[in-house]
Amino acid sequence: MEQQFKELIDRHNGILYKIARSYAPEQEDMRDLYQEMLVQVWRALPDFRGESQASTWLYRIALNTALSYQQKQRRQQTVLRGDEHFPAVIDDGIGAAQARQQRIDLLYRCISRLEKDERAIILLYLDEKSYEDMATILGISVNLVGVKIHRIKKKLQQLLLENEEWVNVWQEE
Amino acid sequence: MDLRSIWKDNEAAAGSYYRQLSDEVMALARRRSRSVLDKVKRIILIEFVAGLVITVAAAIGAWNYTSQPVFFLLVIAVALVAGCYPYYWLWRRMRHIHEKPVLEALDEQIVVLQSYISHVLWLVGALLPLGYISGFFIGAVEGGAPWPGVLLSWKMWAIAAPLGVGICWLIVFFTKKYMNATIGRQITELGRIKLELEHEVQ
Repeated sequence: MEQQFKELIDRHNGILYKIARSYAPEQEDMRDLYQEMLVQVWRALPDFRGESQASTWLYRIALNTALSYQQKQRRQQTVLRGDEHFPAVIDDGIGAAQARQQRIDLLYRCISRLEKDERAIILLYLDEKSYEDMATILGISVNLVGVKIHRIKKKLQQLLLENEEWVNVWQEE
Repeated sequence: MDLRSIWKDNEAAAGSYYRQLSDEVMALARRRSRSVLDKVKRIILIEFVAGLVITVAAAIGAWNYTSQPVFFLLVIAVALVAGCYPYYWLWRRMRHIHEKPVLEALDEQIVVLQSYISHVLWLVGALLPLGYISGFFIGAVEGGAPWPGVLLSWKMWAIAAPLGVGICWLIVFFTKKYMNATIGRQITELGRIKLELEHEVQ
């Protein structure tokens, strides 16, 4: 079981990271949420029969955990300023890598300004999940997924374009 | 602006974060959950075990001290089955809750948390009067009132009942306030997410 769990997390750790970081931008909160997701996955694993794809199953657990996760009150006010605490990917000294890192940080910052349900949808969209998969994970119709994605994408792009830092990073490259 | 291509750069950060934790992943996964649902689950389990212990003690008492043990045991057995049902119901709903599609899971969480609040209020509202009235009459008997005649004294009931109702009302009122401020807030939040997820904003 332990081996199976490790293999699963090794393969899909990106899902947990992206969801945790989007729902808990502060590093300490993110670690709590990431851990909570691990706890829930570990507990649910004995009942996983493989009827759905492992990634679909993992997305459900991670999103359900994130949506009901309560951030600590004292940190909520600084929620949008957390990115600087995250360890950047080792910089190879090239400006382009720095710009990419900055863009990712800003993207997270803007995602964290979306509503919780919107974050779930945009995360699945960015991870290139099909509409059918998204509908299966979220439990809503494929049509509704399509309508929502269209609106949320526009909202996210608007948030990014309103961000001066984003425009600068974009132009620098 | 291709957001997906920017997002792909994220994989390296995810891998890097995971590598920092990889040695303690199993330890983290085995830690106690801090979610509200799991706290509710733990409280329910404690309540259930405590209820079971009290019922078994009452059954042993009935067996030893009454002339009609079968009747009392029957009453206790009915109480046990009736008492177990709400716990079983909550337990069943909470199982696999995180593995369900998001909308369904939100719905289930709301039902479970609302039921838990009702359960606590019901428990407080039922047990407090029982505890208070028992304490009141035990005190009266200790003070010299005749047993069991004291139970038929309207004067005693005239003092005990309004006080009991007042105290219980106050405690239930504040318990409700507290539950609404803690779990109730989460229910509202989950309800809002659910509503926004199942309908498209106009």
